[in-house]
Amino acid sequence: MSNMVQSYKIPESFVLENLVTFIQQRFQPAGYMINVNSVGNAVQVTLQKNIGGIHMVTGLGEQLTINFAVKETALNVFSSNQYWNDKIVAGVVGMFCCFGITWITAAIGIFKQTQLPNDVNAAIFTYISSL
Amino acid sequence: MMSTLQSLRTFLVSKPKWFRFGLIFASLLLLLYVLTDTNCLVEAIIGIPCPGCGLTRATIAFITLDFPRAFQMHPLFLLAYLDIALVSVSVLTGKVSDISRNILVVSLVLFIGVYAYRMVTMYPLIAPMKPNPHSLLNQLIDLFN
Repeated sequence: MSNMVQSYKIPESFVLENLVTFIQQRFQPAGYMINVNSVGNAVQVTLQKNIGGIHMVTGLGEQLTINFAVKETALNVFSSNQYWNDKIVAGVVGMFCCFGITWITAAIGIFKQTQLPNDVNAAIFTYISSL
Repeated sequence: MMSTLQSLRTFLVSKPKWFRFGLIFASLLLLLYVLTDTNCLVEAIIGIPCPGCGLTRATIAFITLDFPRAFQMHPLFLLAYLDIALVSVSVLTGKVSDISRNILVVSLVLFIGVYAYRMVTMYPLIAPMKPNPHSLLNQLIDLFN
């Protein structure tokens, strides 16, 4: 689906590394694998859950890449790279194997994938509000 | 009897989780087949044919060189095997290439379209789009009637 851009007003005490740690602490217990890459002032965080292998048939995979960039008193958040391929595979499997079960799991996966950017944004908002 | 159950339990516990899940799933499918006389999960439960119904009969007809019957049973049966191959590759590699994804999306749309067409033109009189009177839902309705 579409990529998302959000902008947040940040106080002077804001430290991007702390926000990344906050996101890690929030999403890792929920089973997400988190990769962090820093390029200059920007930080890229990738969240992944149930990706690859047999999960490809269930359609329950979730993925999101978030790019953080700090510009003066604003934090720009660019969410992209969502994962839809496994939902397509699950849809096809449900179709010709008569296993309608994968349609149900794919529907759950679609819901979770669409919710993931909102959850991340909610976490960012919570962190910034707490400063 | 107890020792047989004990050895069965030991056997199952020693196997990985996916094997146990698969065994339970296969047993349920077998039970459904015995109860409802069909190997299609959708047809077994609600009694209405699914988009994949007729694939097995189409394959058998194709193997016996009865092509008109094969295409009557399921006009997309060859595409289904391409899909199976693509899905298998995706599961094994953990990745879906752009070409595979496009083929799968097109086949998904085609399957839905063909299913809708067959439900309008063939259901409930012509095989394979016949309702299953032995489905769990029908048996349940019969029980209450």
